[in-house]
Amino acid sequence: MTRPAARRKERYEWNVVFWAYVLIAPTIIGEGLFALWPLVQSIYLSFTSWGVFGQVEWTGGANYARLLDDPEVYSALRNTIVISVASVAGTVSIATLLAVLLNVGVRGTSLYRVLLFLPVVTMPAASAMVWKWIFNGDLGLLNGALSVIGIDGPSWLTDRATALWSIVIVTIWNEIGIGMIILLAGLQGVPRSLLEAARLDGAGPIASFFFVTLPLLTPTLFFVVVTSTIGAFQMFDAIFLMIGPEGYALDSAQNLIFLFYKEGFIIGDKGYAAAIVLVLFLIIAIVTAVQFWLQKRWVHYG
Amino acid sequence: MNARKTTINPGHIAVHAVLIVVSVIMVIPFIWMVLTAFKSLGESTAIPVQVFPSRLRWENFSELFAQFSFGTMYMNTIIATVLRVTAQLTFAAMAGYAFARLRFPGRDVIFAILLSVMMIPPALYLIPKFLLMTQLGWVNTLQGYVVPGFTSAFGTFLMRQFFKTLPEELSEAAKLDGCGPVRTFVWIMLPLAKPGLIAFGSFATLWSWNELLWPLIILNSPDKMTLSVGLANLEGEYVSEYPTMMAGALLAVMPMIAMFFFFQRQFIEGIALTGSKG
Amino acid sequence: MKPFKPLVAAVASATVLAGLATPALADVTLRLSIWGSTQVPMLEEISARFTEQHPDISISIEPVPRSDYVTKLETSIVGGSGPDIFWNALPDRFLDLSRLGLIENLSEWMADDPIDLSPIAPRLLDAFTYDGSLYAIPKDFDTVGLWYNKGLFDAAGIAYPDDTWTWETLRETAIALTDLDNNVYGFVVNPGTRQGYYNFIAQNGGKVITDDHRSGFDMPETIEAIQFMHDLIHVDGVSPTIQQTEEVNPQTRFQAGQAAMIFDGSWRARAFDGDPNMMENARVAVLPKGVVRASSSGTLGYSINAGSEHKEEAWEFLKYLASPEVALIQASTGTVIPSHLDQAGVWVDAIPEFELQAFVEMADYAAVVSHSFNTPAWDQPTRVLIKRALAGDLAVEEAASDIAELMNKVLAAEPN
Repeated sequence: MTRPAARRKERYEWNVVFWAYVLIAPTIIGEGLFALWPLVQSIYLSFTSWGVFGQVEWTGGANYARLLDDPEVYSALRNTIVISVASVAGTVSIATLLAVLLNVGVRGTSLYRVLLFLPVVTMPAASAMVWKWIFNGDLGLLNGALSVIGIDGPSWLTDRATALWSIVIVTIWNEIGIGMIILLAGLQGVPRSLLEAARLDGAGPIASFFFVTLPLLTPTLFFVVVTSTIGAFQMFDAIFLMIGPEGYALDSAQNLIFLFYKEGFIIGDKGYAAAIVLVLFLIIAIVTAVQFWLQKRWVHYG
Repeated sequence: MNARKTTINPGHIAVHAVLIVVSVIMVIPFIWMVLTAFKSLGESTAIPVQVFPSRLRWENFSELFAQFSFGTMYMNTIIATVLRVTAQLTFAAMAGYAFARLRFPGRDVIFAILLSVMMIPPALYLIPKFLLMTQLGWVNTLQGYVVPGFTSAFGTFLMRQFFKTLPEELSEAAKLDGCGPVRTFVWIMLPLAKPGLIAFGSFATLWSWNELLWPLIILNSPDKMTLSVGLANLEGEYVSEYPTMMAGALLAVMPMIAMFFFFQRQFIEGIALTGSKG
Repeated sequence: MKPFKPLVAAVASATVLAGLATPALADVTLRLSIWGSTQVPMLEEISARFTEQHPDISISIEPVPRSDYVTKLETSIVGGSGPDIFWNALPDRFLDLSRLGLIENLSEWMADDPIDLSPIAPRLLDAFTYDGSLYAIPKDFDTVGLWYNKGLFDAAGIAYPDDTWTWETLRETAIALTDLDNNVYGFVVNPGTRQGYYNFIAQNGGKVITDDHRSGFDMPETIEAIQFMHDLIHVDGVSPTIQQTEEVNPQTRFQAGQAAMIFDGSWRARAFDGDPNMMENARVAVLPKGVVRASSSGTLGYSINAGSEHKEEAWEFLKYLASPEVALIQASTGTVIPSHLDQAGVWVDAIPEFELQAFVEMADYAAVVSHSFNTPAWDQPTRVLIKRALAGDLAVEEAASDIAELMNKVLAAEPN
């Protein structure tokens, strides 16, 4: 977008500025009061030892020192990364596939859309219960199905090697619906004219997908990847409901947000918990910033 | 122009096949939920696993209303959701428009800060929000529960993306006509924003409806509780009332499914216009 | 059905009250915080009766999900909007609440306005005493007993458990009853505290926290107890593994007829009530004797929030809650054993099939659940380590010494 007299960018129209501030005021106040201020408070808290009933005592960097030395933090960090990478990769690829299939528009697509979206609306407590049964080592549906093809499945949720992957599976199951709908919308935004042109040029469906559709889909993909990643870093319900704070395999699947909850709300050391969650926040921020930076490499706009 | 083909398209068969398999996987837990809602407690925890209830125990559902004031909780949830979503839509649209189309000092910095708010784990807000409500004397009140949810960083982001896709000529034309920014917003932009609003509105409704932790902390008495809190109460220390919980979860989920089913098209169109641009 | 009678009574009383209530000068609503929803109808009946006698005070019951109860309590007390009266269980910060003066010193109140506490078991009162004063009125207590499946015993031709049983008898009988081909386990080991190691440790003469406030996991008696549990799983083969137990808990197995014996609490009676298989086959016996006889016991009490604005009225309600009338109501629904021991018989009779008197007998051998100022800080990691030991990941001695180390660290940092 080229504009003449670029110098005019320097001056604001104060009438517009005034009303702009009015328009953003409620959001700024709301988010400031209920999100930013708590963040600041939590930063302060992370430098204290906050006793259960409010006795606050300044301890300086003690929580952070403890954090850096705590093996549980490192394993939680590792788990967080594995869960996030695996579930985002799984979610985005499957969601893309489903979106493409839905875009074909076969009969009954509306029904399929609703069915595929159901996990998103189902209450986490209900899904967790059901998945616990599905994953049950002796009686579960999954091992039952596997035994039909001769595989003796493990105890998914209590075996250290598989617990984390069970969480990943459930996370993907939960999240596919949202990504799928957004990507479907993105696909429908691809201009027909371009696809027609490609067809006339002799491109088959696969080629036109990779050379026409996919590049135009990248902005939507970017949005889905970024928001899924942020969500995956904070995934809590599945671990809490399916493995639980006393689960035998907990340490092999516990992520930072769960550790935060355990330290803060079960053990009661809220200062330490605040330090943990702030470290998590920092990591999310860095990852998101990197993603935005990488965006230039693979995302095509306009 | 082409005659309606009734021959079977092999490509379509493949599509159906995959969609059916995946749909079944997506839906199994939900089906289980429905079946369990009709079982007795013993049946729901029996081993070996009992798939079908011996009879349809409708009393699991009626018990919800009789013993657990489900009706009140339903009303509370509806009222709270309507209030919050309306506020969120209004404020997000206002701010989203300002960030997208108006020039003012600090715009990009403030927007970046707003984005970073999205990355804060919600558990962090819990206690400070509660302390604030206590100071205001708003504990166990509707306003205490609802007001902190009036704004949404995510919604603002979404609406901004949306407004950015609208042609610039519109705002320029409005300005030439003598409309100030607010006039432009209300009479021109907002009507065009319907798809984006429906998209965001659907997400916001879903999240507000299902929220558990915040209403748990801020609301005390059963007459103020929401559905999710009421259902969580069915998880006792020693025995969880699974069938009743599933029945409740089912009733709670119905409106959401219905909403999605009826608003599918607008929902998707709305997102089409936001997600496709960065 | 039992739960509905009190509900009907509550509704009836409420209707009557609505007609009779005369607005007094100070109409007070007391907020009572509890967890779970099972006891709500019973408490509503109790509240309705109280309001009959004190028309200017009404009670608002606020149930909270159990897993969030403590969080919510802490948050609300810190925020200054805590309930007026609430349930207080021993491991849940009782000591902290007393020490910080966040709950009322009931001994001081009783100095001016005594309550007759004689029907209440002295050890329950002791449990709620801090620094010489009482800080909660015991509401109920529970013990752990040996639930056994009489059908399985009959089929194998083995005599039912009785008070002559020792650890050896338990082990041998469990071995005789285990029939893995038919999916029956002789005794399911529970890795938890109340239904698991707290019993075995006490029975072997060990301790969780010693009298001089250090970890009991250095004691050989404690280590032996854990070893016994471990061996039941891995050497004797009478119990499913820890992982299997996590997937299907002992109660469910027992209900399904796949466990001949489990340790479980008096609270389980209400849950099993009405299940045809349980009514037919489930019975209770006293726990087998180790070096001594012991049963893990917990108790729940009512405390008054020191920040309450209606302390006088709360005190009135508390007095009523401590009365024999209320104990009778509690016992008759079969939910919990009232703290008034003379009413315990009513509880036993509420579900006669199970032969619940064993639980009342075990009250004499109660090992009160271990707690300190910062219980969760050591309790949580201890449970995890015990699980690892019972799963065979860690040698029992090693786990015990790790536990002792972390416990001592926490205990040493506590105020005394």
